[in-house]
Amino acid sequence: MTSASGVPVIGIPLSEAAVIQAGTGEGASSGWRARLWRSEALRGFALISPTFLYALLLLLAPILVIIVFSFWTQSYLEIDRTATFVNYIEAWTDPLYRILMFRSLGVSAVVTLFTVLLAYPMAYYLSFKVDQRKALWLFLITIPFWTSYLLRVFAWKIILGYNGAINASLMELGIIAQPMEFLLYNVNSVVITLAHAWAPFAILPIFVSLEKIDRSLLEAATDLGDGALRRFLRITLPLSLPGVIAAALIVFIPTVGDYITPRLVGGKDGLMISNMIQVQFGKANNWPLGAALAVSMMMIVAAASLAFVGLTRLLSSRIR
Amino acid sequence: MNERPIIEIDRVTRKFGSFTALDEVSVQIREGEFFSLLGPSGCGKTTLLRQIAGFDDPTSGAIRIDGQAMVGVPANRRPTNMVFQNYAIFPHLTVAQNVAYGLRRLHLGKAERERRVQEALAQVDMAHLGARRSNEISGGQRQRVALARALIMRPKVLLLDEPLSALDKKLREQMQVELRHLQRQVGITFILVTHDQEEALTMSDRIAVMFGGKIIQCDSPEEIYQRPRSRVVAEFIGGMNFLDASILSESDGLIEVDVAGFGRAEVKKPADTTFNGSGLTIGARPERMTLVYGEDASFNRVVSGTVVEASYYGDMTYYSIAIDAVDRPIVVSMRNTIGRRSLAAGEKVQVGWGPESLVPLT
Amino acid sequence: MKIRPLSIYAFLYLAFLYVPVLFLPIFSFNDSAIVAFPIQGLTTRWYENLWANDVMQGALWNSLRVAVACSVIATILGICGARALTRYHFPGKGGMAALIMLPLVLPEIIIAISLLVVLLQLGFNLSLISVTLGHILMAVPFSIAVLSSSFEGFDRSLEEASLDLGEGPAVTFFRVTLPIVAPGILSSLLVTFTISLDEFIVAFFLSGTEPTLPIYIWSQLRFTAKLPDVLALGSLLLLASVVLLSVAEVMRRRAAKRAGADPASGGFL
Repeated sequence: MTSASGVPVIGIPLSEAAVIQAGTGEGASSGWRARLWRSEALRGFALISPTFLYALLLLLAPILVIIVFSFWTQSYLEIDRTATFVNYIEAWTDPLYRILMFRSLGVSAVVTLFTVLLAYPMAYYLSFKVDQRKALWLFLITIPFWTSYLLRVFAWKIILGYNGAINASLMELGIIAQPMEFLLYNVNSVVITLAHAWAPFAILPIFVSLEKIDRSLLEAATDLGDGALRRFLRITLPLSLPGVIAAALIVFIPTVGDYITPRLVGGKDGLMISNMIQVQFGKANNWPLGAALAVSMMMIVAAASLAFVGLTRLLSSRIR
Repeated sequence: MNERPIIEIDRVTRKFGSFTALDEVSVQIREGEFFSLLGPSGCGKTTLLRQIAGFDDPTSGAIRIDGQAMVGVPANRRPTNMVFQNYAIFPHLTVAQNVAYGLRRLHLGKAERERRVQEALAQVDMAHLGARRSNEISGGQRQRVALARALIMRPKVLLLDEPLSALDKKLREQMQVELRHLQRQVGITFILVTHDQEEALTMSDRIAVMFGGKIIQCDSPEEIYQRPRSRVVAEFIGGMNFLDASILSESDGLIEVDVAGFGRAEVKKPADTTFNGSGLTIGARPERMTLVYGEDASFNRVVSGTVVEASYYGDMTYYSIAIDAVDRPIVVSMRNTIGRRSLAAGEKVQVGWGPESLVPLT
Repeated sequence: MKIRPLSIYAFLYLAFLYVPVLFLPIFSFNDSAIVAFPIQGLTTRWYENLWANDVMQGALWNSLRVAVACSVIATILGICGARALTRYHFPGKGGMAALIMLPLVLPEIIIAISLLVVLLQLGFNLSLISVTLGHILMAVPFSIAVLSSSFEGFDRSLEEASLDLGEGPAVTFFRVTLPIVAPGILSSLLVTFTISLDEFIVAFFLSGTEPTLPIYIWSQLRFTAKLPDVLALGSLLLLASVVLLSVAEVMRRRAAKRAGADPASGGFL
């Protein structure tokens, strides 16, 4: 007597139960096919494939298309598909693009430097000085980041503006007579705004690598005679270097291509390469050039990142 | 207990890349038996258990449960159930829901299901705790829930993966007795994996001692303890003194040996063994020798020695004795019975022994 | 907590992070069309204006539709991805994971223009659907990050126990895995929803005639008279995001506790 699904109801002799159980249901067939399906690797592969395919089709493929696109030319609405380097030549020789590219790199480098420098003590505090509420602090630090980037940049516009918070309060206090003009609509404002926006993204990797440091290493160093500063320089700092590098890259790479901040607070002097890319896709209607600019940007950023990682590796091996 | 094998493990091998976890393991487990797999960490015992359960497949070889080949049969289709090492109690379900988990597929009525759950809980002494959740009960209680959850399925074989290792000593000893009792009551074949020799000795009908992916010896607890076949088994179970000896002659199932520092004796030759050359190792359990306090003349064989150290264990004392012509001190244990004096380091003693003290080892 | 230079620094840093953001709500109550100090008085009329603003409400409705679709699909893809990455080993795993997580570090404009070119070349019209596709791409890495911590701490023997008791893999997933991971899934839905709601640049490039809310806000930033309205809207958005994310965090912690992991570790990492 079996139930609907073929599983024996208790009451039959055990031997019969074995026959019924083994004979029904999937996987009862022996052999290599059943084993293959049960293999871990294949199941994992099948499981990740929708997500992977999505990324493949909508990220990798389009980027490859953009690369191909950058070798074509466009005049008005006509796209000429003969392969040519014309766009790249223009991107790399035209002084305007050069300036923008260098400015973008420079701004990103400065932003990265400030952000990481300011973030490190915060991460250190969180890792070493906070016992109970680490998750709460992490959460508080990351909340501003999760909210609308657009609005945060706009907030800085309010603060730095001619009638903004800084100028108004300084004037109220009598420190200055006229509002300061240099605060807004230039490279400085871009730097400040970006440093603010990317702060939490810099803290997290540094925090993670500091957490991983075995505290007993520091105790051993103390036991062997090192003072606090020594301990930091000889043990904590070198061991947290991977986190610092990660933080630097996480801030540097996306910042080079930022659009919103230079547009809102950069004025004429603070524009960056993404603004020009957008113009090519918009008013100027030269998509292949825009693509070439974008690809050039990616290449330069990749090269700069590799150089950075290589340099730090070199320096840290020298230190040891 | 029938004699028919309910589980046949036939030259099962399991390799992970270049590492061999199980090496041509063969054994037959009888229906209704309490069978233990005993060995140190990494010997393959848990791997073998998981092969039986169906969570892993052998690289070669076959497993048959009640005559049915298990190749290609997934874990959820096998007539086995397992008690996991960390109990694996579902945290989002109550105790009663945990125990009832496997009953869903049987499509029983609500009343029947509840009756069976209550029965199962009562069997493990958890009758009134059905509404609790896993974080509201103790470790020992969780273990019982795991047991009930498995037993309610009426499996042919119950697999237990180091079920008592997380419990403290007193609770462990209590559970050992209860498990044994339960097994007798239910009549199902139990297969227990453990690294604790006392546990295996106490509960099992038979023990398979495993080492390096192989079964070294498979016997009743008494056989394993009194007549270990190899040095590995002898070392793993109980304390053992290892003495050098040489074979003088052989006849008729007996061998005459000369044990260095002790003397000659005739011992039974273990079945199916051949000794290479004339040298062999003789094992002697600490409790199979005694310290002669002078008056006792029942031992006609004694050797002289000096007490090196005495370790007091409450009911027993283990004496480390240095014997002439034996390089390392031997250990002799004495029960601290009424009237027996404790010996101190440096005292001279006589160690009494006989042929029944000796175990030839390969 | 002792008052040491480092703790003073920490609090100043936190202030630095929050103060600019707080300016939005402050000025949204300012009784003046000019966004400047000093504050002229308190009013709620900017909030009241929002009520009558049909265009804005249309944009809000668009954003909500996109965000819901994005969060559901991204979370489903995230469940598959997180489960595969934490539970299984297969060749190429590292490379696939890197590609899937790439949107986290790429400049958004690259994603935006590549999708733009491809979609137009394939003949698709730009619409809310194209925006949704882009948002999903960007939200999946976040979903995987949130869900990984749920799956990672998950005791594997719980699933084995379910199999042992007779259930197949699919039923095991629904009876054991899903309930335990449910708070993590909820958290992922909230996080991806918020990301989509706030996202500007991909939407900017990929939307057709129907704007999302951030695009609407962007278009209003040119009109100085409209500024306080935007501030009011922005403050509401800010509040909504903070509330959603706080709930998400509570959920994530609960998920970690249920699966046995340590809720105080790492946050979204």
